[in-house]
Amino acid sequence: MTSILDLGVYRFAIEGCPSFILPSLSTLYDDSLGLFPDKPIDFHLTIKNTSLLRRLIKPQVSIYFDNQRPFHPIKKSLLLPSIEWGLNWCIASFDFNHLLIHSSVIVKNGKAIIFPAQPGSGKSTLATYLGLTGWYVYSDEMAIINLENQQVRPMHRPSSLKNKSIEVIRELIPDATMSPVAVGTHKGDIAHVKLTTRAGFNALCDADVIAVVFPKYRENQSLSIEELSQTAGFSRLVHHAFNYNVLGIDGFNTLKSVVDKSQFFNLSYSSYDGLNAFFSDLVM
Amino acid sequence: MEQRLSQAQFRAIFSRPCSLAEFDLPQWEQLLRILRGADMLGAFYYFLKTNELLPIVPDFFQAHLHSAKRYSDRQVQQIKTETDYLCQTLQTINCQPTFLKGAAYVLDKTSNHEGRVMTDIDILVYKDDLALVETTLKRYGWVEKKLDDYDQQYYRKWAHELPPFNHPERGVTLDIHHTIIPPISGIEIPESLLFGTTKHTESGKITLSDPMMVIHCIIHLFYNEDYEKSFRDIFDIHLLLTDYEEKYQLTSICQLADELGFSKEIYYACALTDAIFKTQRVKNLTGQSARYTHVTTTNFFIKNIILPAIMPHHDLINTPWSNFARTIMFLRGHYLKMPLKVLVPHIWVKFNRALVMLVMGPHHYEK
Repeated sequence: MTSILDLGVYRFAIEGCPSFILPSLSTLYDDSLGLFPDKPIDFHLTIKNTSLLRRLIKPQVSIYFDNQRPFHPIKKSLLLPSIEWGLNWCIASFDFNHLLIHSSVIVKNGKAIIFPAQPGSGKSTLATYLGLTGWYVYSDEMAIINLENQQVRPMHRPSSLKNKSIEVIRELIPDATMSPVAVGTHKGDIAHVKLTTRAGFNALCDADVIAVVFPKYRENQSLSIEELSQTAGFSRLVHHAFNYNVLGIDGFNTLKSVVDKSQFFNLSYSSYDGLNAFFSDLVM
Repeated sequence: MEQRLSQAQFRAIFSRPCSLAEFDLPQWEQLLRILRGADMLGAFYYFLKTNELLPIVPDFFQAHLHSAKRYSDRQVQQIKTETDYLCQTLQTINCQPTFLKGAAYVLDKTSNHEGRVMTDIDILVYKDDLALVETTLKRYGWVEKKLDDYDQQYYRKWAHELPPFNHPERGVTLDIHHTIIPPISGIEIPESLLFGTTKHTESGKITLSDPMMVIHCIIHLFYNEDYEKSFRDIFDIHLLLTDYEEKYQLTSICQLADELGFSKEIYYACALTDAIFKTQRVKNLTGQSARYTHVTTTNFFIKNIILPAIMPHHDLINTPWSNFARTIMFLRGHYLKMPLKVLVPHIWVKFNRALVMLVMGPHHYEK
């Protein structure tokens, strides 16, 4: 069967979506699952079994995107994280109408702070924590910046937690809505967290980026915040922008406008104490 | 149940672009997927622009077209820079590469270069220069692309081409050729015809002569075994021929094709563009190519095998027949490229691998 995911900016269809995954999608995506069945779809993912024999022994599935198969086949039980990566892959491979920065995005008072970082730096965990304690999370994975108004756009999606982060969030926020954990993906154990309802998402608007924070989680280290120059910030941002090299002059102007309006910080932390206050000050 | 776009409807877009006005949203959505699968979204943007049809395109489709256009425009810019670098590098050994295919279209600004995407740059050099070109590229940071062992062996032994090179810093792939058809096919194009007639583009870089460029594009389509993305190739051929016809008569291409032994391929190409784009090329053919006009088997083969085989390969538009036609073209492509003493062992290895993949899943050989 085909399931529609309306993320706001993009509309996806998942063809051959196995029924065992629907409860998770329905929990995480809320009313965005199956929303506006008559509106056109931007990207189709198709889930197929790999071979006759493998249907019976160690069942595997592959995700196809039209004729392409961007990832290796996976065990059926690991499908949910792969769908999430599939969505990211489509956006990053085909959207050159926005500047995409590998970053999570949190918003309060209509002002956005972005956390550009490599995988494993704790940006998703940080965004998840903040998303469950009073911030709006526009994405835990990529800042989607409109080339026309240089504002970051919201996307309705759950966040992804890896390995230890799953326990961290469970302990800090026991009533968080979390998907079952997919154990043993190539990135380790993965769980997804619902951060907002569709109704909550509908109230969100594009927002100006006013600060860029490069987070680094370091065990047993006290909080350290170091301000960076805009020049240093600019070059670090370029490094995290997926499609900056394709966008040419529009990419440069957009990034420049973000930099002009932003303060830049290096942040290392081992606990969330005090972070909320620091971020709240930035968006006052 | 929504109406599936048929192959005939898909083809009609290119002969009667205004038929798009009758498309409903689900059909536009199918078209988006088919074109994206065929790597043709950028080219389709320029096709619609030329036909002044961009305003009728629904908003969601418009966004994807603009995105694809931005990507391909950027690639055009990149090709200009990369070909500069490459010329500088090979200048150190006094080698002037002849650019082929996509890079040549960009340098020569042919009509098909706009919106076209490519995965590599192709160059042609003298066979005697191959070894020196290889060492020079390596000295300037290019590395051999890792292929799986069997394929690597095949490349070296039979295709007589260097394996592709890759520039890790700039993310470019380079294919180096010393002729425009694999030598294993037994067809040799005299070096004098390849290199003696090349032309200089505005930027001073070298491409094949106009007729040779068209013929190369045609050979590339018909001496191929993979027809999954061939609609783009026939679209290239159509646009290259259109450019050519503005300057010259088809006769000069026919003459050259006769000389090289590709008269039949020229006929195929013209008959196909007549069928898809409603051109009138077959009746303008001369020499050997014109002879095929009345050959029933040839025309049957074009209409019933090649035409369905070059439709974009996509679940939305495939039919059992077009899949069958593509299989025939696959076997034909192998047969043309290889003498039997090579083909039989090659098919044997590939068949064994296919068998293992059937049982173990299609990804068994991936690392």
